[in-house]
Amino acid sequence: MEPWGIIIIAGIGIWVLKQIFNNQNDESPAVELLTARISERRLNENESKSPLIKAVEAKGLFPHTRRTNINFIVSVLDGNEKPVLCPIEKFQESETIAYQCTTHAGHLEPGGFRNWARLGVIIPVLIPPRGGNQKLSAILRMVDADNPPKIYAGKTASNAGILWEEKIYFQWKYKGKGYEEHAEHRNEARALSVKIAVAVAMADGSLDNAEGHVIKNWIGREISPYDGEKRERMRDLYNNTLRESYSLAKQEKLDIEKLARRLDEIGEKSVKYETVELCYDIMSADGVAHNAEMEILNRIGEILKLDMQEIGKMRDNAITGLDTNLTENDAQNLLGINPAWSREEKEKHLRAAFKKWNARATSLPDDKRDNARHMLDLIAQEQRKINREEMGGG
Amino acid sequence: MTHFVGIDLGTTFSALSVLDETGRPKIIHNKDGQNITPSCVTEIDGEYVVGEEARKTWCSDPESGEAAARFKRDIETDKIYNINGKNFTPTELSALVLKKLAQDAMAQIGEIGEAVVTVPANFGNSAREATMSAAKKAGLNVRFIINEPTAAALYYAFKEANEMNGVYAVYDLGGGTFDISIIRVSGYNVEVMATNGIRHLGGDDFDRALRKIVGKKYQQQSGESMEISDYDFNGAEEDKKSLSNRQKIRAKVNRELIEITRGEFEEAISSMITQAEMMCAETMEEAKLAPSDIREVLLAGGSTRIPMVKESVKRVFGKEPVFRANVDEVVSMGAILYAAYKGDQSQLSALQKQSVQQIEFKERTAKYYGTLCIGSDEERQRTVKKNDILIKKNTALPCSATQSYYTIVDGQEHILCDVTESAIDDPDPNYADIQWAEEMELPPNRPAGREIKVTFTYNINQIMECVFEDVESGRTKKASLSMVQAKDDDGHGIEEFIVE
Repeated sequence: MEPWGIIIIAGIGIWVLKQIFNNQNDESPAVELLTARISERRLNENESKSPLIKAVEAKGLFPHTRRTNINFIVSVLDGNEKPVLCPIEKFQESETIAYQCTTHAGHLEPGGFRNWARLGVIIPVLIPPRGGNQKLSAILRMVDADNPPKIYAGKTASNAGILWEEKIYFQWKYKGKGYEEHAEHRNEARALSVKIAVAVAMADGSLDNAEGHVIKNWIGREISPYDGEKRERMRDLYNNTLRESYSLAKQEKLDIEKLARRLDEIGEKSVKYETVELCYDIMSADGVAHNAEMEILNRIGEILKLDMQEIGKMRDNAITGLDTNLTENDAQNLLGINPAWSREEKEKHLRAAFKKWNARATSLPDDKRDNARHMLDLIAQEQRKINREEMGGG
Repeated sequence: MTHFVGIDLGTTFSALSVLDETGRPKIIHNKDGQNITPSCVTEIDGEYVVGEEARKTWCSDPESGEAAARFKRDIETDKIYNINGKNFTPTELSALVLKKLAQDAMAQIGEIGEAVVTVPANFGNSAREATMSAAKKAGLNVRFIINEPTAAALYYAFKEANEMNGVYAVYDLGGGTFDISIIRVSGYNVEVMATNGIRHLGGDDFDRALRKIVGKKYQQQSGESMEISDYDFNGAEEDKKSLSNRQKIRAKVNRELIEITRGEFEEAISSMITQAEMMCAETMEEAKLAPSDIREVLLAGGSTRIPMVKESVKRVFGKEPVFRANVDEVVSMGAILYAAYKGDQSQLSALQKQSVQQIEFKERTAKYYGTLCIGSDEERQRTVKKNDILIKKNTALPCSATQSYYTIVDGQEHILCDVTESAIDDPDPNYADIQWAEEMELPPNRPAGREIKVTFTYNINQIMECVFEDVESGRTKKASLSMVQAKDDDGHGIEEFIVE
C-alpha cells in the first residue's frame, strides 16, 4: 500500500479549530501575538506507519477585530525566495504548480489560539530550485477569504487581503537536482518535447488544427509557473521551437529517433512521460489512430526506456476515446507488440490485453464499447497470426 | 399449487422449464409447440406479439422498425427500440418476452410461483438489475438469477449425478454471448471454480459474418450491392445451419446463386472463435488448471453445433466436447433446478423435494469488488484515483474483507463512499463500474489521517453488505447491494401491450 492510502475526497470541510477562544468573552486572554512554527508530525498522529509531514502551526491572538471569513494559506520558497514546486495538484496554486496548501477556517470572531493549532501541512513531495540539503521557508498567511490576495509563485504583489503572515524556516534535503539546476537541460528537454510532438502530429504530412491546439495548450500549461522575463523567455523558446520544428517536419528533416535519444540522455523521467502523454493527446486529437503515429509512439516509448505498462495505459486511454474505425491500423502497433518478442511474450501480452479490453467492453460508456469490441477483434486476429506461425503457415 | 419456473432469457431464443412430478427438469413448449421461443417482438393489428412471427418480420429487415430483437445486448442501456412508431426500452421488450413465456406456461401448468432467470456470466450488476426489472414488469416473482453456464453445469451435474466426478468445463455459445465456466462436480455437489464471458459473441454475429461474405461475392458476381431484402437474416441463419452439415452451400440472392464454402464461413468467424479460445485459456488460468485437468467439456447454446466450434474446443481442451443433452434447453433446465434449490421448498411435492435436496451448490464471486481512493503513482510522482479491490473474483461464498483508509486533508468533513465492480484486478478506475456511491459527513475540526474502515460482506444469497465506518466517531454509511433486486421504473406497464 502506498503512503497515501486515502478515501477519495468529496469536499474539504471547514477546519474550525477547537483551540479558538473568543477574545471578548475569555477571562484570561492570551497576550502574545499570533506566531507560527513547523513541527514534524505524522499525517495520522495515532499511526506509527502514517507518512511523515511537516505541520504548520500557530498560536496567539488573531489580528482582525471583527468577524471575518478566513483562509490559512501555506506557500514554500527557497533561500533565494524562489518558489518550491509540487507535482500533486491538490497542493498547487490554482495558476501554477508552486506549492500551496489552503485551509478554510470559515467565519472567525476576534480571538486567537490558546494552544498550537495545525493550520496547514507541507507534504514530502517538494521540488525546490536546487538540490541538496538546504533551508526552505514556509510562509503562513492568514487571509480574508472574501477578499483574497493574488498569490503567484508563492508571492503577493500587495498586502491587500492579507491579515497576517509569518515566515518559518525549515531544513530540507532534496536528493535530485532542483528545477533550476535542470534549467539548461530542461529548456532543451522541453524544446525536444515540442519537436517530438510536432513530428508525431505531422506523421501524416500535416499539422491538423486540433493537433496544433493540443500543443498550444500544453505550452500554455508549461509556462504557467513562471512570470515576468522568465515567462517571456520560456514562451519564446517554445514558440521558436514550434516554428522551427514545423518547418523541419515539412521538409521531412525532423529525425524523431534522434530527438527521442537526446531526450533520453538529458530529460527527467517526468518530462519523458509528459512528452509521451502529449504525443498520445495529439494522436487522439483528430479522432484517428494512424498507424504511422502508433508506430512512432511505441518507438519513442522504447527509446525513452519508460515503463511499458504505464505507456500501455496511456495508449489504451487514447484508443478508448477514438470514434473512428481502427481496422486500418497495424494491430501490432496498436496493441504495443514488439515484433522482436518471443511467441510466449506476445501471447502473454495479448492475453493481458484481451482481459482488459473484454472488461472495458462492459465497463465503458455505451458509445465507446464498440471500440473495445474492435480491439478484441484485433487481438484475436493477432493471436491467430501467432497460431498460424506456430503451425508453419503464412 | 404454484410451480417454480426456470427461464433462459436468451439473446435470440428463450426457454422455460419446470420440475415434473418426480423432480426432474422439463421444458415447457410454447403455444406453437416449440421448445424455444424467439426473443423477438412485433406488432400485428395493434397487438404486441412475441415469437416466431416476430422473428420472421425482424429477419426480413431488422432496420424496418416493424420488429425488435437482440435487445438483451443493450439491456442496461438507454437505447430505444421502435416498433411501428412506439418506443421501447430493452427492459420493456425483455419483459414482453418473459410475459409471453410465462403466459404459455401458465396455460399448461397453472399458476407460477417463484422464478429464476438466467444471465450471461459477464453481465454487470446494472445489466442484472435490468433483467430483474424486466422480470418484475412481466409479473414474475424472481428472487434469484443465475449465470447461464452455471445453470447448464447444474443441469449436467444433476442429470449425470452417478457418472460425474471431477473438474468439467461448460462451454456455452448461444445466439448473443459466449460464456465459459469451470466446475468441480462430485455426485450432486457442484462447485463453480471460475466463470468468464464475452458479451458480444454468438450466433447472431456469425449470421452477420455470413451475410457479409455473401454480399461481397454477390457484388463481385453481379456488380450490384446486396440489399437486406435480397438476402435477409432468415436466409443467413438457414444457410449457416446448412454449413454445419455440408461443405458448401449456394445462397440465393435475387437471381444469383452464391457459392459459399464452409472454409470461407469459418475464416469469416475465425477471430470470434479465437476470442472464445482465449477466454477459455484465461478461465483455466484463473482456476489454476491445465487442459489435462479438465475431465470433459460440456456444451450449451445452439452455436456449439457449428463444426468449427467443436474443433476449437478440441484444440483448447485437448478433448472432444460432450453432447449429452439438448444444448438449447440445458440452461433453462438448470435454472429450474436452481429455483427449486434456492426457493421455498414447502411448495414442492415430496418427490420433487427429495430430488432437489440431493443438490449441494457452492458459488463464488463473479467479479472483483472494491472502492475508489486516492493513491500515489511513484513512477510518475503524482496522485491518482485508484480502484482498490477488497473482494477478489472467484472467492468462495460467503466471504468478507476489511480495509482501512485515511482522510487526507485537515478538517475534511466529507468522504465519498463508493462500491465498485470490475471484471479484472486492475487499479485503473476505467475498468470499474460504480455500483453505489454516497457521501458520508465526518465530524468537523479534525486533522487529516482519520481512519475509515471499509468492510464488504458477501453472503450466499448474492447480497453484499458494505459498511464505511469513521472509526473515531463511529459514524457509518451502509449499503446492501443485491444481484436480485428489481428496480422500479416508470416505463410502460406491461399490460398495455399484452392483448392475448
